[in-house]
Order: sequence, then structure tokens, then C-alpha cells
Amino acid sequence: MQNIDGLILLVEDNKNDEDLTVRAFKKNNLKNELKIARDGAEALDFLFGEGAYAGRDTGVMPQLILLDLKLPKVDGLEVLRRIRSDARTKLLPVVVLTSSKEEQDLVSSYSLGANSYVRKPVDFTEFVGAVTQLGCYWLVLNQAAPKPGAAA
Amino acid sequence: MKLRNKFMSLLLPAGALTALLILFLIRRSVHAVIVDQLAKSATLLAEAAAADATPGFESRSETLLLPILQSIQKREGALYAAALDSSGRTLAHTTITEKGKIAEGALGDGPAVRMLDFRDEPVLEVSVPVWSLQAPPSGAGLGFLMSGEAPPLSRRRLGFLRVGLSLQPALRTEERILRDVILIVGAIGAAALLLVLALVGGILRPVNGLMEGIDRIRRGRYDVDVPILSDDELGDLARSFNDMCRELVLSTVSKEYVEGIIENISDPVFVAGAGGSIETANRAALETLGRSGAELIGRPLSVLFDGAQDAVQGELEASLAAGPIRDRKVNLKTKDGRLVPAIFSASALADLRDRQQGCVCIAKDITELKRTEEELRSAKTAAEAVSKELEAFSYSVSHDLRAPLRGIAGFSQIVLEDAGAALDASSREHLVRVVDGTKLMGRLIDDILELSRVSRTEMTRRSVDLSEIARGVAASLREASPSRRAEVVVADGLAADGDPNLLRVALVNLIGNAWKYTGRKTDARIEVGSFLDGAGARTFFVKDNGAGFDMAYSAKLFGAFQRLHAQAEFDGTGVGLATVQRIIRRHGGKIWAESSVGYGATFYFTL
Repeated sequence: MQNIDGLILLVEDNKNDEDLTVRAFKKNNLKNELKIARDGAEALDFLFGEGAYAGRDTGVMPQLILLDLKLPKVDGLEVLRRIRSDARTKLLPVVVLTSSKEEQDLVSSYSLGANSYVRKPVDFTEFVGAVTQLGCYWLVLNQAAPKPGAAA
Repeated sequence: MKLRNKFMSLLLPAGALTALLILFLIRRSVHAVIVDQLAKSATLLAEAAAADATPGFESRSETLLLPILQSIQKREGALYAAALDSSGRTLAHTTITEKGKIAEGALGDGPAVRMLDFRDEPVLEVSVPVWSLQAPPSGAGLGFLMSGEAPPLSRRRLGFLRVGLSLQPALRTEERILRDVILIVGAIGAAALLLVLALVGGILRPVNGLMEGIDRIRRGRYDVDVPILSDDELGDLARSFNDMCRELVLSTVSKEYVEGIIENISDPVFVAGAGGSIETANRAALETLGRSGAELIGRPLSVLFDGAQDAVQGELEASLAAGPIRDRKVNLKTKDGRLVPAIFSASALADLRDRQQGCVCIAKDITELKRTEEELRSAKTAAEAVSKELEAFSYSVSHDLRAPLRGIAGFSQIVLEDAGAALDASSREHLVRVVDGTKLMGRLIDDILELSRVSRTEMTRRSVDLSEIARGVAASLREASPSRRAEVVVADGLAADGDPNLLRVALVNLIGNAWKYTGRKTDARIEVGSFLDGAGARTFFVKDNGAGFDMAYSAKLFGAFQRLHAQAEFDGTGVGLATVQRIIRRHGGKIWAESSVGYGATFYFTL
């Protein structure tokens, strides 16, 4: 788990969860740049270079998006829907990382094209374990789809 | 006209006419016979005297003739006697004033008879010719008299002897005879009349009985039994009539009975005639519409409904022509214009020849039903709102409660990791307790969610293999704690009818409990099986030889957050059995347990 320089977009409104996630990444020596979006709208602005992120080079897309479902402004499921309906982002791996284990959330997430659904454990040790496995799989093991621009 | 009077009016004139005719004929015959007899005896008398009178005639001497005439008069009681010459002049007469007159009436060669009045007295007069002495013997004379032949030409007619006999005695005799005849005819007539009357009465009595019976039937009473008075055709008729009445009673219900039923039906009933106008409306109909019978009878059916009358009537007729109207939702219009929601049904009435005779309609007032429906709907809306709220709450619990918990646990852990060395032993121990507390709370939250989910999720029943589920549960328990030595025996073919997901949750809890409470046994044994109870119902059980519990607290067993063991002894949230009970109850089953401390526990359930 080294020399991974792909960008990770963490969409998370809870500062505690954000810090815990960051710590978990650090603990696993995941050196990837971590971009935090604190609500759904910010996440979308970042991805599509709008609003506060107008002028961002949208050629640079995150290698992995960690998405909470319960978010201010635009909720996680809506963010996921927008990601999947835009050609620039529709192939990005999206992992839903949430507290909910409601059946309805699981079904909706997978229906909208989530690549994975992970429930945040209460226990920090378990949490670190979950993040470790996620990082290993999506950032090291998994072969991402080619960038839309590069494919063309 | 009554049969009796008809008989009388025919019989009396006919009888009277016949009697008169009989009397007339008898009188004529009697009269003829009497007159004939009288004429004959007078003729004989005159002829007998004629011989004696011949000299007197020859001499035309009154002196000679008169005594003979007088003797005839006296002897025979004749009214008078006379002698006439050939030319009709009276030679002698017992009544002196008649002497010398020219006699009336034809004078021939034979005896002549005629009727006349003499001195206001009816008289039969016989005239006999008198011949000269060479007259034939008296036998021959009688002969020609009888035969009416002409006398021999050799004789010479001297004149006529005439005798007048009074008819009075003969007429009296005739009257007497007639009187007797009238009596006889009258008696016969009266007897005949009585006979006819008796005969007519004999016919009329049974007929009257039948008439009374028919009258009863017309008034709607079929319990008729006409007396059988004779063994003839009329008796047969009465018998047939009684049979017919019995059949009627069996096969027909009276109008009163039917009307009583219609009147007392608790829903409004209307009967319309062939023209579509209302003929009958029962009590419930009048009460519902707030109208009197007079306001409805004769009006078209459409008056019951709201809307344009012609259109409603047309629609009704068209619908009925296509078949019966069933359970149509309508609004009935009351007298004061209020609308009463009703379920309306109608069918056409046809007579035996399938001709349209109108229709019968029933309209059930569903005001109450509507209100209940409305209440149910609002209750449902409220329940749905609560359910939505509950879902939102569950969502929040699962998401929002866990987030701070994770913070507490995470940062406590981080403190332990980063500054654990700097803390004293008891502070470290306290932080470990904080972390343990958050873990338990996380499980509690999950269990509560599970409990609420088993109540909320939709249930689909199908056949479920409980043996397979139980074995899967046991396998995952073994996997979670590979060091445990425990024998789990699951009977084959535990088939049930229920929701597979919910039943899995139930077995996870029951077998999980058994697994947990046998944790301190070296020879742990868990058995899952079933048996048929006394009533033939399948009862499932999960049996362990673990710690067991005191039956004194069995009532608390299935309550949420109720625990019979200390957390230090066996950890747990106290929600598992509450969840199991909720699942079993949703299946319509029962759950109960038997145990004694130290000897294990058995949980039974039916589905």
C-alpha cells in the first residue's frame, strides 16, 4: 500500500467520522490525496467544476468516492444518481459508507449503481479494519475503468 | 238471476198453461159426452112417443097430441114437448103460448139436435120426424137414426115431434166433474212443484257450498274444506275442489304473507308496475325518504334519485332491459332534499308468459357504512403517517445515534492508542469500559431496529424448511467461535408455513440463545425438533442443556429489554426473545418456554 497517488473523494458531513476515516487511512499508510466534501452539493460542485470549484481541472477525477447517504443539501442517493448519469463520472467507483443498514437504503444504492455498500462499525478497531480492506481493494487490487478522455 | 227463481219463472207459467189446457180439453170432452148422452136419450124418448102420436098427426088434432106431449113432459122431466107439421108449424105445444108458431131450425128427414135458450134456460132440443103408419119396425127406425140414412121412399112424413130438455142438470154434473178435475190437476201440479223445488234445492246446496269456498279463496284464504253432500257428480266436484285448495295451500303463499314480508324488510324496498311507476314502498323506504305512501305511490321510480328525472328514468329502464342492476352506488333523495348514500339493486318482474310486469328494487342505506369507511380511511391515513414517522425514526436511530457512538468509541480508542502509556491503569480501564459501553449500545440499537423491522416488514407466507435454516444458523455460530464444543442436533424435514426471512431471524435468536447459555457446559447439546400436540398441531422446539432460568420469572421472558441473567454472566440486550415472540405472533402462533435453573431450557412455538 504505497505510492498510491490517486485522489479519494470523501463525502461526509460528520467531522468525527471524517477524522476517524482520515486516521484510519493514515494508520494504513494510504498516502492518497483525500478531498473532503461536507455535503452533497459540494461533492457535485467538485466533481463537475461548478460553484466554488469553477475552473477546477475536471480532467482530474477521484480514483474512489466514499459516499455517506445522509447528507445536508443534496442527499447521498441523489449524488450517486447524478454521478451515474454524467458521462464524465459514470464509471467512477463509488462506495457507500454509511451508518444505515436499512434494506431500503441498500436496495436504492445498488439500484443507482453503487459499486459497494459498507456499514460503518461502531467499534473503531472494526472501523479501521473496514477502511483498510476498502483501500486495499479499490485502490490497489481493483483495475479502474479507463478515463473517458483517454478512451476517446 | 238465482237458479231457483229461474226455475220458478219457467216452471210456473208452463205448469199453469198446461193445467189450463188440460182443463179446457177435459171440459170440452165432458160437455160433448153429456150433450151426446142427453141427445140420445131425448131422441129415443121422442121416437118412442112418435108411434103413439101418429093418429094425432094424421088428424092434425091438438086434442089428441097434447096429452101425449104432456105425458112426455111429465115422465121425462122435459122442459117442453111439441108437435110440428111437415112445414114446421106448431100443431101442439106443452107451453100453450108457443102454439101456431113456425118452428125455427132446419127440419130434415133425420132427427136433429140443437141448443137454444128457452125462457132464459139452456135447452137441448131434439126433433124427430114422424112417419105415416107404414112406418118400418122400430129396430130399423133406430138403425137409420143412428146411420143417418134416408128413410124408404114409400113412407110419408107427417111432421116432427120435438122435445126440449133442460141442460141445467147436465151442466151441474159437468161443473162437478170439472171441479174434481181442477182439484186433481192442482194437486198434481203442487206435487210436481214440490218435487222440482226439492230437486233444485238438492243441486243448489252443494253449489252454494262451492260458492262460499270460492269466495274464501278470493279473499286470500286457501284453507277451504267444502262439505261433500252427495256421492254424485256434485260430490266429485266438491272433492276435486277440496283437493285443488290443498294444492293451492302447498304451492301458493297468500298475498298478505308476501306483503307482510315486503313491509317488514329492514331495507327500503320499492315495487314498480309495468309503466315504471311505484306501486309499493315498504316502511323502511318511507322512513328513509321521509315521505308518506301517498307521496310515492304512482310516481315514477326516478323520483327516488338525485339528478334529471327523465335521464334517470331512461337510464334505469335501459339498465333493467339489459339485466338486473346489482349493488349500484346511488344517492337517494329525501323529501327535504337530503342525499342518502345507498346501494341499489333492481330486477325486472315478469309474469308466467315472460311479459314485463315492472320491477322490484331494494336500496340499502349505507350512511353508517360510509361513515365507518371514512373513519377507517382516516384511521388508515393516521396509521400510515405513524408508520412513516416510525420509519423515519428507525432511520434516524440507525444513522444518527450510531454516528456519535462511533465518535465516542473511536476517540476513546485513539486516546488509548496515542496516550495510553501516559495514563494510569485505572484511567486506561475506564476508557476500555467506555469503548465496551459503546459496543453494547451499538448492539442494542441494532436489536431495537430488528425488533421494529419484524413488525414493519411485509410478510409473505410460503413453505419453509426450518431444518435447513437451523443448520445454517448452527454452522455460522460454529464459525464465529470455532473453539466451542457443542452438539447441535436438527431433526430432518421440519416443514413450516411462514415468512422465510422472519423465521430465520426467530431461529437465529432461539438457537443463538441456546448457544450462548450452553457456553459454560463441557457437554453442550442443542436440539431442534418438532412433535404433534394433542390437537394434532405441529409444535416446534429448541432445547438446550444450558444455564436455564427460574420459571418464577418466565412472565418476563419475552418482554423487550428484560433479562434474567447478569450482563457479566451472559451478555445480551434483552430484545432477542421479544423479537422472536413478535415474529411468532405475526404468524398467528404461540411461544412458551420450560426450564429449571442448571438443567437447560426448552422453547416451544407453533406457527
